[in-house]
Formats: sequence, C-alpha cells, structure tokens
Amino acid sequence: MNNFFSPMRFGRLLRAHWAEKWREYAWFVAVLVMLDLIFMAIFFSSDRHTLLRQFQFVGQMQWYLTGLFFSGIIFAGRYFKYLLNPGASLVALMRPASAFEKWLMAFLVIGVFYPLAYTLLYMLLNYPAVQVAKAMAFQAGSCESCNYDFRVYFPLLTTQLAEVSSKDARMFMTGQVFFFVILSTAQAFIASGTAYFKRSPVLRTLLVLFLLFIISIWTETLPQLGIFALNFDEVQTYSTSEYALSLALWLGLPALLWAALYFHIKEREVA
Amino acid sequence: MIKVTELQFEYGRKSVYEDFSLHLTQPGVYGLFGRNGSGKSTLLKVLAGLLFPHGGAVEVLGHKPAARLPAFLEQVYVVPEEFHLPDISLAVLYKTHAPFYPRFSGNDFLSYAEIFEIPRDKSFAAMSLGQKKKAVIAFALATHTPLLLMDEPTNGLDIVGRSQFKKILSGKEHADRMVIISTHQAHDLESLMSHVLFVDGGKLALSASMQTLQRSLYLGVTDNQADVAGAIYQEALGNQWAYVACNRDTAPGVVNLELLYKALSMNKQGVLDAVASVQIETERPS
Repeated sequence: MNNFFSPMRFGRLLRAHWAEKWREYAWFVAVLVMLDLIFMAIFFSSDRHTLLRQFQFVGQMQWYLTGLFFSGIIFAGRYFKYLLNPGASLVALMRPASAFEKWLMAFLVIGVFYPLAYTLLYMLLNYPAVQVAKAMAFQAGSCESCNYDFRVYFPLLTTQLAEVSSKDARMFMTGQVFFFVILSTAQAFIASGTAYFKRSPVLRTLLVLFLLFIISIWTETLPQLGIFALNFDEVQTYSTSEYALSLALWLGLPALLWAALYFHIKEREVA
Repeated sequence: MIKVTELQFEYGRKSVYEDFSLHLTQPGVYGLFGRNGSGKSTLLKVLAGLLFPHGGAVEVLGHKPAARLPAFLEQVYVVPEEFHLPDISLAVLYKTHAPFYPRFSGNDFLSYAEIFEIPRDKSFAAMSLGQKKKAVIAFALATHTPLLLMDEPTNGLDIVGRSQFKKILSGKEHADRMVIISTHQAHDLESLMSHVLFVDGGKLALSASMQTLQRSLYLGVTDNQADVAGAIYQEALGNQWAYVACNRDTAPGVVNLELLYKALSMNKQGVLDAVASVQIETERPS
C-alpha cells in the first residue's frame, strides 16, 4: 500500500468531502449571489457616473478581484472550522488517507476549485449585467467625446488589450498574476493559521498577521515588489537571473505557507 | 496488537501518564476503567494517534499511531464520547465512507441499522442524539477493523439501545477483533468483557482476564454484617451489605464490575493482592 498518495483513496476523500460539505458550499454561493445582486441593484439605481464606472472593463475587473480576494480569504478561513469541534476533527484526522492527500484536498478546494467556481459564478452574473448597463448607457444618450469600454472582463485574458498596446497588456497581465500570487499567499496564511491554532484560530491568525506587519515596518523589511512593480513611465528590464530570483521569491512565499499547512495537518492533535 | 512501553503524557504541567506500560495480544472485549481524569480517553487517543506520546513507545498493529498512515487508519476505528456526524443520511454515509475500510461489511451495517431501528434515508441532522449514537456505533462495528476503540459508547443510549448494542457486539463476527471500551457504566457491558484494565495514578493498576477475576474474587450481597468481615471492600445497601472479598471457593464467582470498580477505587491494593495470588497459581508449573 502506498501510504503517501493513492489516486483511488484521494478520489474517495474528495467524494466524502463533497458529500459532507456541499450544503455548506451551496450556502456560501447563495450568500455571494445575494450580495452581488444587492450591490448590482445599488449600482443600477445609482447615478449614471457610478453605473458607467462599475460596469466598464476596469470597473468589472476591480469588482471581480475585490470579491474574489475577500470571499477567497473567508472561504479559506472557514475550511478548517471543523477543527474547533473535537468530534469532527477526530473524524477528519482518522479518515484513512495520508496527510499529503488531506493537504492536497485542502489546497485544491481552497486554492483552485474556489477561485474557479467564483470565476464561473462571476461570469454568469456579470455578463447580463454588463449588457444591461451598456444598453442603459447608450439609451440615456451618449456623449460623443466619451469612449466607453463595455468589453466583458475575463480574468487573465487580455488579448484585446494586447492588440491596442502591448505595454498595457503586459501591465494588466502582470497585475493579475501578482493578484493571484497574493491571493494564494493570503489563503495559505489563513488556512495554516486556522489549522494551527486550537483556540480562536481566525483571531489569532489575524493577530499574527498584524504582528508580522508591525515587525516588518519596524525592521524596515517590507517586501519589495520586484518584477511585479508597476512602472507607468518606463519599461523596466530585468536580467534573467533577476527575473528568476524575483519570481522564485514571490512564488516561494505561498509555497512555503502551503507547505506549513501540510505540517499543521500532519501534526494536529485532538485533545 | 498493542504494545505501550513507559508512556509519558502531560497536559501542560499536569502529568497524566508516567511510566505506563501495556501489552495486549489477544482479541476480545477489553473494559478500560479508571476514575474521572485518570486518562482513559487520553489513552484511547494515544492508541489512535490523535495524541502524540511525550515519552516512551507506542506500537499498535505494528504501526506507530502518531504517523497516522493510511495503512494504520484503515485498521482502527474510534467512537469518541463527543462524536460528530455530518449532515448526511445513513445511505450516503455507507456510500461515501465505507470504501475507506477494506473489511467493511455492508450486510452487517444494514443488519445493525435494522437492529438499532435507524432510519436509512433521514438526515443525521434530523435524528435524535440516541439515533445518531446508534448510527456511529453501527458504522464502527460494521468496519470490522482489527482494533475498535470506544469511549463511553452507551452514553446517550436508552435501555433498549444498550441491550441492542450488547446483542450486536456479542456477535461471533466480532470475535477476532480487539475492542477496547472505556466506560463508567460497567454494569451495561460486564457480560461482554473478556478482560479488565484499570488505570490509576498514571499507571496500569490492574490488567486481568474475567476468568482470573472470577477465580480470585467474590462479589456479593449479604444480610449478615459478619459475612463482610475481612472483605476487601464493603458498602451498605439499606439493610444489606455489598462486598468484595477473596474467593475462597474453587467455583468461579460472579463479577460485578461496578462493585469491582468501587473496590479498585477505594482499596486497590486489596484487589490487586487477591488477583495476584490467582495469577501466580495459574503461572506456577505443574
């Protein structure tokens, strides 16, 4: 028997997880949909300026990224909430699967499946809303000097922008890639914290984050953006080694935090 | 099957186990007794790999439990006192959770569910505490894991439920597995137990088979106070006296675990001396 990874066992783990959690996830989605619809209703009932700002290309992107970031963190913070219940954590830890498989499931659910599901949901809600906003904007009488941009935003797809300006496209892509690195880092941090702390896990995790922030300010070691720095005035060029180092450091941060989660799952006890 | 050597375990500064050793090789139903806070639940969790020993060595079914390898986890099932069931039905539990256990018997599970009268398609969230406990027990017994650890399994069960539990556990399909039951409700399960373990002061105070206890002890009730003179333990029951004494007869006595539990709690050494005399005789070469 392979005690590290077995595809069959991992499939069982996913099926059991889905059977237990689909209701909770359905509620999470329902709350997101309700919030999105409420905000859309507010935007549609607001003045024309707000409507145009919110549903144009950049407004859509900001709305998508903001929503994904906050809901992604909340989702990650809730994933290990069963560990607060000794009975539920016993069931999860005693389930015949390896620590790696349990970690992989957490990584996939939090870091991959959730952003994908959120993106799909966003598309379903955003597309008709943009069409309605577009119709309303033109129906109300457009100003001739205005240049409306009602293209539908798709995350990481900026081909149309690339046709306009390769520099803009590169900045958009870099900014989005950086966002997903930060999102993954934040999710890994909160998931690790909630799997590690036995009492008030979310509060303690946020406290640690705050302390790290204070320490980094005090020691003047705030992370540098490196290749993700946005230079509007000039195109910054990096050597291959600088590029690789910056990328490795930025990818290394979430990777280390996700690795920490593996050890927290492996070493978790149930008193 | 289970080999614990010089186990040490503490909660903060409070020591629970110091130099605790236990060696169990035979299948059967083991009753684990001890006073509140003596570490019975802790021992079960250490054996399951849910708590890690702070010293000594623990080996269960040839594995170190703390590693929680799948090969170990599929051979051990734990029924905790504070159990949890997800919001699914019995049918979904069977479909999604049973495949983790290679010896799981679907027929036995359905049969136990029938004996316990658990509704199959009702969600656990809509069931009473007793029904949920029965579902957990039915699943645990149907896994047929070589080791089953149960912490207060009859808590939350009504009289009928306890009787149903005894009926199922006494089935011959469980004869080749080791079941360790930690309980304060000794009377419920004494007919099932093949072995008694008593934990006290961070050590294993008593480990004896029921046969040894029956041969070494006499546990009874009398109207005559003179009969209890020299007893290991005695207590007044209205006009009568319940007592535990050395068994002077050749015929095995009746073991009342509740009375034995009290005797061990109040006069441990007296019980141990009586049991030791029989164990020495048994071990003496003919």
